[in-house]
Amino acid sequence: MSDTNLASLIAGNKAAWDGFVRHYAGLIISAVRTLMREGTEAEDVLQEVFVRLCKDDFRLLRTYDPARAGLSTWLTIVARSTARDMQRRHRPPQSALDDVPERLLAVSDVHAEPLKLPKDLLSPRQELVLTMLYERDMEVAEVAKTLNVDPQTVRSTHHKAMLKLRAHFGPERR
Amino acid sequence: MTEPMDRAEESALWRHWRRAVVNAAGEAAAAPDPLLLAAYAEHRLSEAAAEDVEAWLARHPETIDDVLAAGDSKADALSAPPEAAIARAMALVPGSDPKVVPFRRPMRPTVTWRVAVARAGVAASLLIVSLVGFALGTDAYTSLLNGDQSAAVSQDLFDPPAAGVFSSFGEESSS
Repeated sequence: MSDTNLASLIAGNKAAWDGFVRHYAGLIISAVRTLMREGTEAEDVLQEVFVRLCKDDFRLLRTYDPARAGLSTWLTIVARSTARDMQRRHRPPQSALDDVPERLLAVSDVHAEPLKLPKDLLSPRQELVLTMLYERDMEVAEVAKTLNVDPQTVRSTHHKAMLKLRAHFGPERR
Repeated sequence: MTEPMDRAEESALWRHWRRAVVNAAGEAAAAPDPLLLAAYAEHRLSEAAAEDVEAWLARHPETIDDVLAAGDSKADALSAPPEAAIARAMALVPGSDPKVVPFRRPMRPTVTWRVAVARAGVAASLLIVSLVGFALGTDAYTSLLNGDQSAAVSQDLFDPPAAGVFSSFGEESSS
């Protein structure tokens, strides 16, 4: 969508809005489909995304800056964030504490000792690399693509992070 | 990258760190602006700005998928959503077909038809009961005013004799 069309859209031009909806509805549905269980829910998210975009005289859409990111990329982030918000709203209520068996509430004494964490032991990049590898089970190539770096850089970042963790937890664990 | 044995040990080490960080974490940082995440997904951020986003992503791993999805997003060659959904979204900005209601999903025709029949049935029943009740009441009132035999019977129905139902039999036997 060109800057002119976007300006016209924000100005409230009906034809521009219709064109925008038709062009990006498929992208939004595809972006949230993996997060939702049924097609109908994805359609509800679709509607919610467009409601958010045009609410308060297109307040959210006005925050978009084509110089900083592509519209498709931004819309995907907005759509998935909206889907998560909707999921949080519709999450079933938590069970009452009295209904939970006592054995499940038992707290193990694993972390009884106070842990001294150096504030910047791992850099954000190192922490993210380890999160992707061990929490998201991503391949090195995937991590490299996400971070836009060489796979060898990912391996090196991982290696340095592990050296730091071993040095920090090594004496504690002995 | 590493041997399976090392990987298990490294994974355990990571989880140990992770738990410690989560326990030590104070107030949760606010989510980055969608535009900032989008710019990160397109690798357009400076190193310093990217570092802030990466710190947030590391603490909110579920959003890593959002960044991955955003990086691969293209508006072309995607599954087409239903026309009804598109029409509802279009109706959010005034000037569209006034028959389309933006916030409500249209009811299925069969459901609409059944609801209409049910409502008509209830209305007809109420009307019939009202008419029959009115006719009976009018008849009884007219008969009472005329004072004939049937009116006496009707009056007994409304105001039964105090002596009881079988009192008339007793009177006949005594005479």
